[in-house]
Amino acid sequence: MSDDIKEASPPVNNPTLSESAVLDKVPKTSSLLDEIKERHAQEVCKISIRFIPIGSAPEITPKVFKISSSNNFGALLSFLDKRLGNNLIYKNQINHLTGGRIFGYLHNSFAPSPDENLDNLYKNFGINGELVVSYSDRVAFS
Amino acid sequence: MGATIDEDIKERIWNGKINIKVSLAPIDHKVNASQISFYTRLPRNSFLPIYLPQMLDFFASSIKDPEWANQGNWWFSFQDVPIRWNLPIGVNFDIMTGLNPDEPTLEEWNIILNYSNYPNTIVPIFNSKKSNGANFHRHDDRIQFFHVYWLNQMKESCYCINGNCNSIMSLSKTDSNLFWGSLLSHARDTFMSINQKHVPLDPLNIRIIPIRIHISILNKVIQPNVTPTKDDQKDLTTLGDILQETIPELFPSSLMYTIAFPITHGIKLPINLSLIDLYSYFAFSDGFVHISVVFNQPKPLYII
Repeated sequence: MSDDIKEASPPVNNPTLSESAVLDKVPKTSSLLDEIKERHAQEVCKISIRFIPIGSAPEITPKVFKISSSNNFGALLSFLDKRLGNNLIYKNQINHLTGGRIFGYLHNSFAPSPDENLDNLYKNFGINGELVVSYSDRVAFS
Repeated sequence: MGATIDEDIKERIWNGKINIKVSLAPIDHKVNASQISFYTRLPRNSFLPIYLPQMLDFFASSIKDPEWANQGNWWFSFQDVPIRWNLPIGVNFDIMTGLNPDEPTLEEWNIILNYSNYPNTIVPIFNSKKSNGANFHRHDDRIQFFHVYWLNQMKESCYCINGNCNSIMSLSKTDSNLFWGSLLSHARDTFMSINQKHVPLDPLNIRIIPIRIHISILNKVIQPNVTPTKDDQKDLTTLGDILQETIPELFPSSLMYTIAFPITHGIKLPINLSLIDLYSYFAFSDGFVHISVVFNQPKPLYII
């Protein structure tokens, strides 16, 4: 039993790297970039995320969600913030890198950066077809 | 002799610096104050938030609202593109300029310090002291968020290498403080003496090499899951192997560069470099090897 997490990406106002100074360094006639983009688009898939609460953090149901691998870790944290924000008992600590109140960890050891891509995290730290994310309402591992 | 050359190379990489000219964004500048710029020379292997306090001190009398100097959410940009504060300075320079190390470099990197309109394309920074209304009174407070960030990146890379973070979790309070302090003061000997505790004595025992490949033109970072040796456990995995595997369109061969080539610390890397050597020479102080993909410029066929 799992649900889908649908995260609309926020509107982008600033130019990104691909629109920057590096642009004029790319061979003009190259269709290679389109080829890579196409391959990457085809490789986007749904990743299973299993959420596990730490300490006094509230449970979430269902425990397993599916989310597109093109999202980043910050999308998971803002999803948890929206779902659990009102049920948190411990409300004093904010996560300075999201502005939310949820802290997320992999392998009960480290907090990935909010801008880390889920595809990378899944490939490096996933187990048995799932990425296990433990979450807390305060700093749990420092 | 070999060991000495090794040390010399590693020391030169650690000491690599970039000339930077920092200017305050016009929108955040006091209307009547004269325009001044902060000229500095910062280590490639360090991070902008560490130097933000001294920049804000310098610009103190030019900032539109003096109260802003006490806030945490300042950000940097280069040619209007927001700079990712969480990447090492040299990595930002390499991925944002796309410069070929064989060609002339910039005399200085012109970047802008901004307060207004924090961009949504980089990791946000929320003021550490917001909840109780207090401001930053000490530089230590201001970069506390960065300490937490950096430590977690170190732990992530340590997990790649060892399959656990025990060597970081079990650091004594003294060593832990020395480690952070050596990052702030860019003290190589102290940093390395503690950093080496996270790497197995025999590098063949490294589980996964922590590598991030930055492809600016696609706004993409790839962190491949790669082991020091190939499947047969005998041959060392090379840089060419992982580039060909992860981006075959740009690296059709694992033996020679054609369309693009990898750089790190502003250095063009040899394609047959083993991942073990890549890690031991070039890992940054966040525990990761960061590679930037640069394109070969098409050369004119006839030059007279």
